[in-house]
Amino acid sequence: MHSSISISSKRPRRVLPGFGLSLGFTLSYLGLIVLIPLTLVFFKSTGLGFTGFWKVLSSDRVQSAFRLTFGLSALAGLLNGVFGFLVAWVLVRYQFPGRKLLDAAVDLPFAMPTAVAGIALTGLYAPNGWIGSKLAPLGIKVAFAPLGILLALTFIGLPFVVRTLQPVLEDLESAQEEAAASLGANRWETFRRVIFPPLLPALVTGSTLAFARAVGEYGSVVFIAGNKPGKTEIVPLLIMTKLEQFDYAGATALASLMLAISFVLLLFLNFLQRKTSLSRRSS
Amino acid sequence: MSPVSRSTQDPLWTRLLLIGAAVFFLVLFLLVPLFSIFAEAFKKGVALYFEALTEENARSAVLLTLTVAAITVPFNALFGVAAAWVIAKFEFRGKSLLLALIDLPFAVSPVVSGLCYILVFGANGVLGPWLQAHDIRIIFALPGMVLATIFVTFPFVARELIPLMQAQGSDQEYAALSLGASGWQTFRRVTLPNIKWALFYGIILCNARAMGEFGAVSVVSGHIRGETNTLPLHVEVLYNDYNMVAAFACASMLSLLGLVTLLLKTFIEWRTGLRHRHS
Amino acid sequence: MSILVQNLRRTFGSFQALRGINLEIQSHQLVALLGPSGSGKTTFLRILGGLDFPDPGHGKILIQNEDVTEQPAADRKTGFVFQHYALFNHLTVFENVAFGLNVRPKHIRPNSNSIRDRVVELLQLVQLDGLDQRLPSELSGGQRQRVALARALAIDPRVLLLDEPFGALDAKVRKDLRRWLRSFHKEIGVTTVFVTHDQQEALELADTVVIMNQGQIEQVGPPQEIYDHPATPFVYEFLGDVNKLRKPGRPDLFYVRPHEIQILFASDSSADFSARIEHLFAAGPSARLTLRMPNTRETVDADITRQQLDEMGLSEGDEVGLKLATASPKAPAPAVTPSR
Repeated sequence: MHSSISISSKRPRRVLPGFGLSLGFTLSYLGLIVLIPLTLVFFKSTGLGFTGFWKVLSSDRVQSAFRLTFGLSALAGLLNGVFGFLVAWVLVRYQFPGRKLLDAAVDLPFAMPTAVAGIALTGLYAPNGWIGSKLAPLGIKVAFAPLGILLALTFIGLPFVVRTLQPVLEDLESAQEEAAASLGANRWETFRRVIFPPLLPALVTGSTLAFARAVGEYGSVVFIAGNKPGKTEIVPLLIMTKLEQFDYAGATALASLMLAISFVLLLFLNFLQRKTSLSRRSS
Repeated sequence: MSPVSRSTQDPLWTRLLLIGAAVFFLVLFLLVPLFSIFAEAFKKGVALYFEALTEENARSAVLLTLTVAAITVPFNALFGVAAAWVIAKFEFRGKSLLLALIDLPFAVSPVVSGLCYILVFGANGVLGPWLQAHDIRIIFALPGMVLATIFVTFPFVARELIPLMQAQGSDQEYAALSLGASGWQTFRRVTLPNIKWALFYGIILCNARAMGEFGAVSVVSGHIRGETNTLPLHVEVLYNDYNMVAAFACASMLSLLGLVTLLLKTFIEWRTGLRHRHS
Repeated sequence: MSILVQNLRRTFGSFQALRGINLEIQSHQLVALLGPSGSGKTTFLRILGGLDFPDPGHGKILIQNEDVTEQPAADRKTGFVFQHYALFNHLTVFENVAFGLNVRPKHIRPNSNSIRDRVVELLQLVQLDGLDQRLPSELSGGQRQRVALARALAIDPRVLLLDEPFGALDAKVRKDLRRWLRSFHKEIGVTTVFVTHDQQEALELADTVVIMNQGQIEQVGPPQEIYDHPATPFVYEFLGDVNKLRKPGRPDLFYVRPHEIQILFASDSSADFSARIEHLFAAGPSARLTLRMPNTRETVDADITRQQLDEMGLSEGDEVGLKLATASPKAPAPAVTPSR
């Protein structure tokens, strides 16, 4: 505790070396690589003026892309909340053969390049694929339909919820559960009233992370989406298309809106994570 | 984990049901796609598989991927160490803002991060005319791809080091200084050995992402076959050409990279007893 | 003189950790910085070691007549032993102790043979010979403490600074190590300053005790003097085992140690107070009485001999008279205002 106080004053003198050097390097790197280019996105889109900006955003194609992207990302976040919770719970609470292998496999969506995930899922769920061919007679179309996009977005977001929940689940004290049981609560009551509440912030954090990742996702979606304008075209793909058509103004307008949303999500996540770490410390 | 006492043990049927559901979900969702990549790649035999990997465009894609990673990873490792040092060892104004900025690439769409470099270096970009006058190519060339990859992957090392260094505190560094060590000696002999596994871990994750990055690189690459196609971009090209065996063969190489990354990651977690948080 | 500190101030934001410290420490002394947590004692120690610095322009530190106020830790040659030892986990015991010698610039670095001899000698001194190839994680708490000590001594420090040297150890090891440190200090003779919040530890171990409170020094002196003549009410209360009482009808408070209270029969007219025995416990040659004063409802502890207990035939519930042993030099402390 003491060392943290002793360096927090406004005193010019710092005992550990390298403050100026490491701060200077960090800030220049961030500035050159990230901040200046990103600021340019906003700057360029102001050149469009409000009417130009609105003209880009109000087109049917753009609006349906936004609806599709955010609707499916939210759904993917929710699905990940449910499945991620199930997986984290089972991996932390139960012992069974193959548990360690599955635990490691949870990181596959992080470790596999998105394009690889994209073609693998497309291959499986296309009407002639292993799974797609079983679903086609039932009238379920996955690949080249919104359902396929949802599948890809859920795939890439799964690790977020599991990895956010796992440490919190591991930290839960069994004494609290035992106390609940000794007070006459059954398993379900104990889960609902004692176990679940402290997990909620982490669950929301994980789902929001998955949502944020899904909103910007490109690689795994382009293959499976089919990319029909107005039907299965997501915003990142639309930006890409506009770039390929040399419509830089349109692409920049979309990008600046996406960027603004990213900032908001980041702030929200920051707030959530502070809350999670607080509740973890106090429990 | 401590053994679960009877009062907090779920009934057998609940356990079996939940385990079954989770296993089914994970196998269907994660393992089947992984398996399918290799199955598709070897569908037409081993010979065709290796032909797809050794064909000229594939070879140049592999080389480019390795080049991009070889430039990106050291830079980002250096950044990660510097950022972690300044954030974990010092108090200063704006520190939480800096921390939030480091997370930025996790929230920004790769396509947007690629696009911002087009706005700087592209033909119509801020520096475009000047670059053209001096015949320097950044967009649709290696420098642009490196920049885009750096953008997308710079947080990985920093994110691994910061929590570790914060938890370790600075007493060992203080001890080294009071024993007469210089700043550099303190870093090299005390700090570095204490963070080496986390550093390695971060580098592996950074490398995996750098080699596999698709969206950001796609924006700035220009897709010139044999020239600016990295392996993931090459997969896309092959896929769009309906050359499925070759596409999946290249994808299987990238999957192997992912699997090796997971293996090393699991090894480090086992070796250090660390359980890592992900972002 | 070994250490001279003049008018030292240290402020953290709006918190004044040290508000004007003046102190002289003679050579070869073993000095305890004693105070409650937040009293500034650790901040003071860190500033002595160059791990922190005073507010610019506020304070001066001389070590062996050299002004070290602005000197960085690396040049100061003060051996610092951290509360949690801060051993280098990736280095063996040998490498830990040798660290301060190995990092010296080439032209003043001893050759590897003399480094080895020095480390072996130091490990013998701290009674850890044979453990030189162990890692810190393979040592007990007390052993780690001694490695940290040997490591600090390797650089031939001008002063040795120990932050809560026994704080992280369990009671038994603590006691052994305390005794050992006392004789160890006699043997090496290096001026040593240690921080503690345990008054027992400070009084038993140190040649000089410095009592700190709220960033200031309350009293400096040999343990006996501090115990016998506490200079301020704070010192009286902090040293502990003391009764605070009020004479009937007077507002002043008195500090009286339990053994300074005489127990008389209730009928004895020379008694200052009367009280009732609430609890009585005899262990060994002395007995402790817990007495309740009927008029103020306060409780007072008193120690008497076992012999007196038996002679007077006292038991719980008895009415007795109390007399303050004013004849003794350990008279009640100066009166303080009741608000304290």
